[in-house]
Amino acid sequence: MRLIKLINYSIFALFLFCAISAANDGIEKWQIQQNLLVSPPLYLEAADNDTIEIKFKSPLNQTVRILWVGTFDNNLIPQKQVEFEAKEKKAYVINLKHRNPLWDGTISRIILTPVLPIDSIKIKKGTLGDNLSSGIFEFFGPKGRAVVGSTINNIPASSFCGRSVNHYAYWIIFIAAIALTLLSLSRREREAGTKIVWTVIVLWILLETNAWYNQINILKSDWPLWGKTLDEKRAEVTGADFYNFLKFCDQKLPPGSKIQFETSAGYFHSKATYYLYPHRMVTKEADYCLVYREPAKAKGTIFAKYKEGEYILKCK
Amino acid sequence: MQMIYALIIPFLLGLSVFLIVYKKPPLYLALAAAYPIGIGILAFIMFLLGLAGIPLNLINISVAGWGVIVVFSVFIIIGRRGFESSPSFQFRPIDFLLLLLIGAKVAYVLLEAMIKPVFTWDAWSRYAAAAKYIFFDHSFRTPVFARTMEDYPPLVIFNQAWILFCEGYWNDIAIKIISPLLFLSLLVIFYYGLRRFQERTTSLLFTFLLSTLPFIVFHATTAYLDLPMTFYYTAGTIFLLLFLKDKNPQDLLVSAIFLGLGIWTKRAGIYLAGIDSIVLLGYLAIENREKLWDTLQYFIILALIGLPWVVYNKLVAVSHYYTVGDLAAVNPDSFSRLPDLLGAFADKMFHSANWHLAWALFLIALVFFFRNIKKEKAALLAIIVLNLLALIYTFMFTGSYQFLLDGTLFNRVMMYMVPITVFFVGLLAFKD
Repeated sequence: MRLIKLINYSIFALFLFCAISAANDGIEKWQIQQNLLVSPPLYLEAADNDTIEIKFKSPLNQTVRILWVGTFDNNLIPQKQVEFEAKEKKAYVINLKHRNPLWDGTISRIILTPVLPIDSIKIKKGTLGDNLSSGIFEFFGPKGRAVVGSTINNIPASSFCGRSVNHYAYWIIFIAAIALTLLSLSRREREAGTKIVWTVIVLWILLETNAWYNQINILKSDWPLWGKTLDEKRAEVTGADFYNFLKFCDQKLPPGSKIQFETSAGYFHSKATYYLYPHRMVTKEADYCLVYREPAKAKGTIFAKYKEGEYILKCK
Repeated sequence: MQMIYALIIPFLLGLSVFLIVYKKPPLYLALAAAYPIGIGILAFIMFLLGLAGIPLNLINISVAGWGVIVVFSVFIIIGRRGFESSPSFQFRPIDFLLLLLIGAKVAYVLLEAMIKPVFTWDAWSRYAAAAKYIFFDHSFRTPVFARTMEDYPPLVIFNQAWILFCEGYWNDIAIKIISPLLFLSLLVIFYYGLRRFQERTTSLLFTFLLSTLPFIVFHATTAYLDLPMTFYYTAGTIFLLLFLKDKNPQDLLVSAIFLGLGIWTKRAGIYLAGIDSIVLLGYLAIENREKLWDTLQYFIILALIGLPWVVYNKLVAVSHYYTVGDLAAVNPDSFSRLPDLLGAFADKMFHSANWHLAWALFLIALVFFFRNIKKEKAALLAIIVLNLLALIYTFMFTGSYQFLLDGTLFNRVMMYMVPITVFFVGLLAFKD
């Protein structure tokens, strides 16, 4: 009887091991669906499996996105994802919980995009070493680094293990403030404030070193613009194809034309207004209508064509 | 060459006015104050020309500008105005290091600003677009300008248009020179103000800290109006403090000039000038009643500079935001917004990369140096507190609450007060 029980437990353990291994190393069980790499059904508790380790087969220069769905919410939503830059052929260890608090509950599937040559994928409970490695990678990660549209309104702090680096600075300041105050009181000195200010300044300089790292990288990425023409620079910040279409329109339209531009993209409309003036953007009784990659809504004959789907109509 | 000419006229305008108002300033202060004051005067000249129906172009603005420079120069010669003779001083190695770091930041801002055209949203969709309309239409009194600018003040836009006139073609890189120059002026005036209270190395240290604030550095590379507004408010407040310290009327006049030009820069200029004015009156009523008469000059200058725009805008603007009625209409349900507001304050002030540890340093200074918060330092603290209350009021009780939720306006409005907060810490630092 005991032997039978032992055999049952062994079979169960073996089954469990296989089930876990299927999630943790069997990249061959992942499937490609519509340019997404989709895991087999997982049913992992997020709290106990907070870290993913991905080893790529070859050097890359790609932004990789990890998305997931839970058992209670089967929909892929953009908030449930983590992004990272994969440049080298190495194992990337990422604590998903630190990167995104929505790594929570029970995870039923994980999706990777784009589809890349992968050696192995492991999902596991991160060790201290994994968390530190993930934290360092997170620190140099995209958050708070590149200039994006929202930078004009807010510059996010770099993160380490799921918290802003400022959080750790405040802990150091707090501990230093307590210690220095007690020390000053015991020595009957009055210099605690000065020493605490210096502590903050030293930490400030460390944060500034991080800011300089960002600023140098931004300057390096913008540096190739030096020596380019004004049009080339405008194309760079606007989008080359759209800017060149606008340049074509500016050259072809008679001076002071009234133009209409029906587009679903407010950005395109606003940019066209900005770049094409003194051609005036109107909402009715236009002389010419611009068509850019959307079906023409206005009626008229083609006045000038830049390329397929991008042309100027002489409005009726 | 065109860019040099574009900068020379406002520079000379500002320098001549500053030398008339301020007796024997240090050379570096005069150079730092010249451009910001000059672009204000140039904007006023273009405003008057436009109102008179005179086409705005290179010739007309140059004639008017040079005419004003000549007139002011006569006053300077008659009044035998000049610069303070430079005292001999010795820099310590740490001073050189701090100057080098500050210089490196200014160089970064200049390079990054001038490397690419206007690309940030409001800058190209509104401000730079309006400057382009003036350039092509030779007037700001056009429907397209009115629709684009609404009730935004035009100081920076007029100066962008002036640069375009000098360039002779539409160049949306050249117009970005304004913010880096104001960033440099901000640092120099900040140093000058703090130097009147502290020794050199401490003043340089805090100027360095100001130069590192990432949000201010980023804005200095763009063509938004927030960096200019930050400059005018900071400079106005610093000179106000210098008046409270030394009771020299010329500091008060310069303060009035900068705060008045702030009204021409952004809508916020009105309430910011109001905050400083309230604290000025309150301080003098408590500490120094005999100086209350000096404030008459201050209010006259402030009104002479600010009122023309306020009146014109009220009469002409196609739409008005933040009318007195809007600001006074407090919805009782607004108190439910408090958690969102506190969350935003905590996140943006302490856990973002915008201000490094500036706010933590402010709190530490309040706790550990509170005994030193007297007289003009108390006045500055009152200004900071009123600014914070104004921020809370705006985001909690007005339509700006939507901008709190979408995260677009909060930091830009906070930026106006951050340099004076760093200045406050600099006043108290190392004086246990």
